[in-house]
Amino acid sequence: MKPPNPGMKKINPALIVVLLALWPLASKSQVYSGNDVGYVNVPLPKGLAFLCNPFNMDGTNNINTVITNTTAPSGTQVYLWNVTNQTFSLPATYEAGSGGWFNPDLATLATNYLLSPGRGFVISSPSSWVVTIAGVVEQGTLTNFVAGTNKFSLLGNIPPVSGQLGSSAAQTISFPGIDGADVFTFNTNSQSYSDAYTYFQNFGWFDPAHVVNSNGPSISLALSFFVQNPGPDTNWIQTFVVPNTLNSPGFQPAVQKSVPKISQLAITGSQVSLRILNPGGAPYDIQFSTDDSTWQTVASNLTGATWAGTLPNLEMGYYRTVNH
Amino acid sequence: MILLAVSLMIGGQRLLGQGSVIFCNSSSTWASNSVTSQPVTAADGIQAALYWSPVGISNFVQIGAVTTVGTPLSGLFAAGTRVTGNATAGGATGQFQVKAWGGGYASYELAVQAGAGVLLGQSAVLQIPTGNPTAVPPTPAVSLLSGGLQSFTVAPAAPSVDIGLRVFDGTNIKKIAIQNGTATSPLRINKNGTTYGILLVPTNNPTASKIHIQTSAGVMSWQTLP
Repeated sequence: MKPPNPGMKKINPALIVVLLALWPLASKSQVYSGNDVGYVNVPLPKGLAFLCNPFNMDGTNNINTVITNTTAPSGTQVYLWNVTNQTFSLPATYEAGSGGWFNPDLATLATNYLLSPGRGFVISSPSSWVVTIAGVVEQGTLTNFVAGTNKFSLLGNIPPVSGQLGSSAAQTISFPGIDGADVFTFNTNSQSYSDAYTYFQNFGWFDPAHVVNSNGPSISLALSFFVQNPGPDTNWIQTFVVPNTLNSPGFQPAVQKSVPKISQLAITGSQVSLRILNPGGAPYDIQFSTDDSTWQTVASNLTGATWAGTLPNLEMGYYRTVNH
Repeated sequence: MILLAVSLMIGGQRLLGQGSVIFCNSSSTWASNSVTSQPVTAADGIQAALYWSPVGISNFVQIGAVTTVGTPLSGLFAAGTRVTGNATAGGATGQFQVKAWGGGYASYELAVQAGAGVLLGQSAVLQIPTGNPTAVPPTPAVSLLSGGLQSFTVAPAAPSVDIGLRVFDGTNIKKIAIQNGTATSPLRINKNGTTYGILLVPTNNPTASKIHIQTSAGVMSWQTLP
């Protein structure tokens, strides 16, 4: 599958440092954001696709809150990987008539199918469609557990980024280099795994097909991959910061501001609605971005608790509130 | 041919999706060269192949292509996915063994036949639950490391010949290795007026048979030929 947005890259930490260093000089004209929400549209083929939720919907991320598309084909199934048992779960199934995801008994809602950010899952579709995943952009030091002692883990990026596995090189997703670890991506065209990319100490990631370099395969936004870790349990730590956001770790604005926060992003068809926490009734603007970096105002001088608009027909996008 | 016992077992083969494994080692399980006492380099000309047998029998056959040892770094081999024969269904456990050899021969068997001086080495036999590429969803190929792959050494082949001595080990008929030339082994056999030495190896040697004998050096196994 092609990356939904090949231009989407992890924010370079060095750039963040520069931006934060310049912040006091620009504070009088700078806008503050309460938080950052986003969505991604992932085209799915008939058959299997390996996905990952790159947003935090509500802290729980039940499948019925993460995948709310009413366009999902009836009979679409989602499998979770059980790291302890090293098997896939029985699938949750989408019933178009009921408009929800159900347990394998097809009678009760699948309330325990949790699509947490960074946890991979497999979706099996009887026909092609586009899944929309939305939620809050996670920031700070984000930790994803990589089971050891030769266990397989199905993982993806916790923040909405893409890039090569890497280990410490810039512009990668900083996946830990574990000697002898094998990584597999899934090709939706052939409906099969890639050959194993193996990490060797003092070399990097080795591709037996000699296609990718030693930074390993690229993991696209909202996609997942399998890793078999022969070493001990370890953590995959990613640091992700959106500049000028009040909940960015370490961000100390020169002037204290109160900016409303988006508590919920809901997408229904071509409509998007935001629920905004604004206890002080401060005026705010709503901005939209395609890359979480460059923003344009789509609504200005608001004070209400909700806003609705037309969803741009794009592969991905972000909304934020800023002080007016 | 001297035949101590004869038995032939042909496993019933089912047409199922086969299991898959990853044919590679790691920096901590590298292959070394006894001649150089260093990890095998690509310049050493050592090749390796993965062998597979169903569980319960010892009928190893090469699966997949030969690869060069010493790539991408000394001591390493990394050749990607290998698929078993039909007798190991996807997800089922199979037996695997890495065999390596020098001299530019096309296979391990040809290298063994070439005789003394050829560099030979093999891993222990590994039992590994395989990946299942035909399951829904499929599971990935499994690393040899998960089966306990350890470092092994390639060394000049010990002089040995096959004079037709065979043993039945309860499962298979095994060829027994005989010293080439003057018999010095404490265990000897006479055939047609010529005395031969039966090669003995430690019981944990990959070429050890199940036939053991007490010697002054301890319990040893009759050495098998491929």
